[in-house]
Amino acid sequence: MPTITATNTSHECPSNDDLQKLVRDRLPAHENDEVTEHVGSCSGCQSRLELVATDGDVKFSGSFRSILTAEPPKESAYWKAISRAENLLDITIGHEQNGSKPRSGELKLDFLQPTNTPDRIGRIGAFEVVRVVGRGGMGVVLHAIDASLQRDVAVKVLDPLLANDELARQRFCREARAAAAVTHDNIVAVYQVNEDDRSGLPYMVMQLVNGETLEERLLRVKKLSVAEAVNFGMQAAAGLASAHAAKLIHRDIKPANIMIESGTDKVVLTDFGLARAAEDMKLTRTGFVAGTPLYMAPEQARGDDVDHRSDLFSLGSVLYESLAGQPPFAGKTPLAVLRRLSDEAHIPLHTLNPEVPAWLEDVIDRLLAKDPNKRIQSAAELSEILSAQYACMQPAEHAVKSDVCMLSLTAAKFRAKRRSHQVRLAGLLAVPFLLGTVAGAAGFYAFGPTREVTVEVAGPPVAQVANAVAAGPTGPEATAIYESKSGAVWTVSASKDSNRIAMGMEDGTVVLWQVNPNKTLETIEAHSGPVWTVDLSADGNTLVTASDDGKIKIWDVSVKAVIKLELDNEGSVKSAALNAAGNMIVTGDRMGNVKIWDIRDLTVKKPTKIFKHAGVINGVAFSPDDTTIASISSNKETILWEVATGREQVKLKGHSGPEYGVSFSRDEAVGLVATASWDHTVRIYKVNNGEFVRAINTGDEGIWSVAFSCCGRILATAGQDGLIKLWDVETGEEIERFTRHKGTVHAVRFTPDGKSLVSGGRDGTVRIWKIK
Amino acid sequence: MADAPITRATLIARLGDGHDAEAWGEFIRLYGPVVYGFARNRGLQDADAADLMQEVMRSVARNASKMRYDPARGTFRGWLYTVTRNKIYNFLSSNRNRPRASGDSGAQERLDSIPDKGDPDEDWELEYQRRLSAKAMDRVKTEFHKATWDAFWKTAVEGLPALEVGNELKMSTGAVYVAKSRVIARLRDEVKLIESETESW
Repeated sequence: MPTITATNTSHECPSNDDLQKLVRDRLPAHENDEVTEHVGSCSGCQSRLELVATDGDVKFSGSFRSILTAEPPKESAYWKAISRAENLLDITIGHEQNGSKPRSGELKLDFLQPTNTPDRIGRIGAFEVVRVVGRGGMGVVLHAIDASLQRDVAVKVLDPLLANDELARQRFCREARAAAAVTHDNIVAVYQVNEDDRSGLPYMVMQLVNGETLEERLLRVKKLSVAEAVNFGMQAAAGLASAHAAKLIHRDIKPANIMIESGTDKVVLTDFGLARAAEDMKLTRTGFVAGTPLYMAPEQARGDDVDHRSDLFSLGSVLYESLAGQPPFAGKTPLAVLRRLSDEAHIPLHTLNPEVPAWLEDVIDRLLAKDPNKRIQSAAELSEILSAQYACMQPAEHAVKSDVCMLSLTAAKFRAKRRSHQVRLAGLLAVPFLLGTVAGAAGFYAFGPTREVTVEVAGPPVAQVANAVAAGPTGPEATAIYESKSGAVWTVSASKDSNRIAMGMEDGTVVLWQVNPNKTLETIEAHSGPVWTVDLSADGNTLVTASDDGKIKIWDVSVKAVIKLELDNEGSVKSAALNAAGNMIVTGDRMGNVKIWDIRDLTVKKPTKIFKHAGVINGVAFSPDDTTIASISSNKETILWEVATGREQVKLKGHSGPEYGVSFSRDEAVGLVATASWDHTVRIYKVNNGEFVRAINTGDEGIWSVAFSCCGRILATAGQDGLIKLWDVETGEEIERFTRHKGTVHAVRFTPDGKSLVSGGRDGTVRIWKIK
Repeated sequence: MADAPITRATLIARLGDGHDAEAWGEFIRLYGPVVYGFARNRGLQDADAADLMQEVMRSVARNASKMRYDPARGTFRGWLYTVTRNKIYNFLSSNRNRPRASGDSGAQERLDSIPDKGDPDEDWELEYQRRLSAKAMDRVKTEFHKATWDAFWKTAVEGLPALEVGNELKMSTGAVYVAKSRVIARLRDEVKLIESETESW
């Protein structure tokens, strides 16, 4: 037995650090025994130990001696008084608080003015009231008819009982202001705000949603199906994204505030009563919390600073409850909820509902991260992820059954199991290999030719994925890294000399970065929504930016960014590209429109041509000779258009998931176009006749972006798995991979000289990689 | 005008809804003993202190929904202290004017000993700390082995010497000190947590 060391050290007093470790039970066993023995015989260390335990607060343990009298003795009158006090709530709050009118009592509609119209219960302002729809904390919601426009509206009137409550009036009006500031399909539309002449009550006139709240739906059905939950989540996230873009935080996302329109399943977010502009937020800092504790983010519950990511946590809680049948952090008391919220992990979703696919559980887990920095960082990104997956779940309208999508979900499940069970490498290799082969076979049945190619490429890359999982992030690091403070990077573009990089950010800014010498040239406050696309002209002097805010902007950035032209697309713009000649741009939007704009004449702000594609146009590109445009869509189709005539040249089908990336090869002799999809594959076609050349199965995650190198021999892909991979176009084999991004990579592009690759992603970095 | 904070706090908001008995129960179990203990400390008899506690709680319940919290005025606990102090003041001053068989001559001094400013005084804080510690002990007790807990309880609460406790529990003296320190450290964490919870009420 190692007693010698013990006697040696037991005479020496341990350091404070060691005592700290002793208290927290973090000393190795033998040291623990030594120090414990020492403490037993050293009165100095006994005092020090207590000081360490109380963090230096000498008074702390002083209250313990009197703890036995912390509660009054059994025979005390206290006990009867406390049980009477327990009943006080009903008696007092029910009756005294609001004078003679109990709040929970019958609703008095005496503020309504009489009406002569039959079947109407009264009138407020110009609105004939049909019925009472509901009654919330702040007011009464009425179904009414707007006589002048002959349309049904919802009129929310401040509860008459709160008429003299200045704060309630404030809150009511703020809700109206907040909701009116945002126009979005998934946010309730506010038409007007007014004050009733006679009663003086403020009321707001809103869109009437025919349907039920998610709360009512859940009471009825207990749980939603996975597809429903993804659909509702996707829409709620889209609504939130537009609110966040307007710098508005909802702060009270809960099932009762999510309306589902019957028949269409359209989701509308309501009740912006707690919403605040981000800059107002400091007013609520001191010890206040507002919101529904069951769905509140931990930082909100603690009364800390709240930002848009708190809404994402709440939406995560709502999705969790929709699928699990119970909220993630339930408790008998608000305290218990808050405690669990801050300290405990939620029950893994799949244990409560085995139907939930691993990817969705993963998304919800990330929304429910206690640390806001570890959450999915924006509602826009959440909406993107959910809509990509939702598109996968829907049966394809035109083409093949989405076998690959289904398989990918299964594969994801296997992957999650692998992670949790720590299966070794052999297992890692076997399962995906099998699935990869099956996926390849499905590809064969669906798409006919290229049997050898498809099966061939399915094998090796997947095996390499397994290696990467085992090895962790290794491989070459970027030659230059830009770390932004503006959240995720959605798009990048490089000048011809590769020294100037433009990047479009989550928060609506566009950053111009000079690589060497390393310098932020400018941060342009370009848009009020995420910037989905930037495109820099070859000379680096002209910049095109397009955003969720519906604006397309052309900038002269030769010296300092000056806006040359601002175009209004009348709807969120997902993609834009500048042609080689620099006189034309093409844009794609969420409504399926592909528009060509002549940018030489700065007075004409209308598109010169509009092509009708369908779905969300996630990418557009010009062929190197500017004669052809490719548009890719969430409807899983690519269309090649002839610029001169506006004619549709060819429709390219074959992807089984929404398409996110498109690139033309720069080699005019070959003339290839590559499309990348959420179905994990890249498909390559000939531009002149649309002939299918090859598919590359890139792994088992969705692809955000694809790029041809200048010579057309190398293809780069970037995706959800955070990896950038280089492929040999001829053979479909993986050449190299870059693993250093710490999250999804949204954009990848070769520099015009073909010597480097630029990438940007969720981790907020842009990286430049040397190509051999 | 700048918007004032609207919803005071979860608990208060829920009390305002008028039907959250659980939140209310939680609230009075934490603060009831504090108010009662403080009133006793100020010289009120058991029955009077109990009545006063009930009065304070009635006042909270009545005001819950219209409670307006001004951060400049301090913490919620501070507000409750003010309510309690005023009620004690009223009680004692009305008793002073009422002839009593006992001829309570100490009442005036006790009345005068009540400070006039809003900051909770030491006795109030001590009652609160005591209550917090008791609550924390309830919560963390089950996290420890019985011997560890007993070593803590006997030394820190009952005040017995470590040597004696060690003999009784068949632990070395050092182990008793270590056990005590571990429970104390855990209690301190828990008290901080409860404090943050109650302040976010």
